[in-house]
Amino acid sequence: MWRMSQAKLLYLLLFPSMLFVLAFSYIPAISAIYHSFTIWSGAQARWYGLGNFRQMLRDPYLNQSWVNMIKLTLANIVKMVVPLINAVFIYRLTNDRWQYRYRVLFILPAIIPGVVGALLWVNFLGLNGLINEVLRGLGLGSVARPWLGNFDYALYALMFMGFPWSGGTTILFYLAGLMNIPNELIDAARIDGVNGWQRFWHLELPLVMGQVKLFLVLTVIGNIQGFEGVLIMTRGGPGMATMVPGLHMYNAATQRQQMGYACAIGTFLFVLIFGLTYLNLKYVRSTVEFTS
Amino acid sequence: MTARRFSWSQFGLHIWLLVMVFGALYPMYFMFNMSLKSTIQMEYGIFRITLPFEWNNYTSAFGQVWRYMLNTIAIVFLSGVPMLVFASVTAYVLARYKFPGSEIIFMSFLGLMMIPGILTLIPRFMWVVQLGMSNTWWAVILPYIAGGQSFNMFMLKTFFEGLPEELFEAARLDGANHIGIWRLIILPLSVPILATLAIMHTLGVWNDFIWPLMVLISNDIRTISQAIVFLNTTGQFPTPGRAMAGNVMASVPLLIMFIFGMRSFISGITSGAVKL
Repeated sequence: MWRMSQAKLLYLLLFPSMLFVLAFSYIPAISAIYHSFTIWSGAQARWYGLGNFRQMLRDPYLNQSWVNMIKLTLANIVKMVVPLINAVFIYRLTNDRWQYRYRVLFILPAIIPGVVGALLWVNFLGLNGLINEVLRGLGLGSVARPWLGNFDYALYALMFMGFPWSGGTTILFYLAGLMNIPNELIDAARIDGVNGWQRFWHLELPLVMGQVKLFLVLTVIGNIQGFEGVLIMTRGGPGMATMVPGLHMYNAATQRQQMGYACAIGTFLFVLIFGLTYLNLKYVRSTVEFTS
Repeated sequence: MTARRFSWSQFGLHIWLLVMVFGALYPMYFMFNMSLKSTIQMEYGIFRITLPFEWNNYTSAFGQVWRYMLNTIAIVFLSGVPMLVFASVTAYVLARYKFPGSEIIFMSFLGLMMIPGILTLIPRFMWVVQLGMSNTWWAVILPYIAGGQSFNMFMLKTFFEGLPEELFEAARLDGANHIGIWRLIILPLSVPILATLAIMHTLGVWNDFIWPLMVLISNDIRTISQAIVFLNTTGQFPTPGRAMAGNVMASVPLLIMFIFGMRSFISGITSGAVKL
């Protein structure tokens, strides 16, 4: 039986956390959903029903954004293959010390702040940047152009960013999964004369499938809500060639004071992400052990 | 070490991995190489290493970025310390006690994982403006404290649940109260996990761009990521070489953290990668 005074003290200890979470997460979340049904420019909000959502359907910028978002997401899913291969190859090394060295080398680029990485790629993709210098060196100077400023190529230039997409943290995460494979299983496979491809397909891939699914969901969620890279590299341009929904929302709020409309886009993105997060927690995450 | 037999398949793995390591590191090479060039040396192309190195780029760029680096370090501490204290107190209470409402409170933290940043971004901004915190450090510090509560709390709670009850029993018999238990048992035992979470927090604050961009307007209170983008895109760096030197400098504190806390750094970014 709990004495009330004792419980009171515990409530008091929980108070700071709860206050912060309420003030900066729950209240804004409720505010976002409420204001998505209003016209809101900062002062008093006016009820607008489903007007904002109807406007979303007719918004050509937003429609273009969905297409761009899907293309970028698909590209990022394809790029996920490279870190997986790298992880499997590191795992197959017999020399522990080299395994460790590769882990450190692959993680090293994580010390570069995200915005610096983006700015660096703006430089690389510029007229006299690394990419065009390489093309000129290969005698393909006629192909060289300012990639991010080109209406037809800007989106593909964004996809190219980070080539060859070696991956850093992703590799470590896959490796954590691979390390869980019991040694007896590997030995048994070796005795059975299994070749490298079969070993990947029947042994390694099924055992990291949990991690792969988790990263798949996280990649899709990241693409639905992320716009930092696009904001720094192209601002959605030229025209609307690289516009994504998150950036469109940000612009509606910060440039046109359409807070209600921005909240409506945010709420819609939330619904998309909510579905994916739910699937993630329900079916994917539980299968992955938290290894740090 | 025993001599290993040469194996073609192992050799092949190394070739692939070395190419991939090169693929991961070349941007750093070009950044560093360009940061040591004068404007004239830049004309010789970006591949070649040109002598003499233009170390002046660094002294000049340092003058432009040091203030923002200090700002960010201050914000990391001012938000990180309370964030970890609150999260670990909450984790301790929820891990070790069942009391009326504890389930609901736990669920309310769990529910936070369902709220993505994109949903709350705009109303949080409006809210911060209404509270009169816009263009002050409060506008970043308070949301950073809040943002760290759920994930860090879960990590710490899982850890505290694994500690043996006898430890707490003994402390209670010795007359320790909650604060005493937290200070004498919880805190010392959770140093490694706190280090990991602190590194995650530092990386998060250091790399955050959009939120400071929205709320920190005056030039002298900006954070490093925000300032670096501003300095680069508005042509504030006098030469391209100095811009690159500024970019390198913005990475140095993270490099130092990497070197001195590699283990925590690696587990910090690995956990950070799966944070929703």
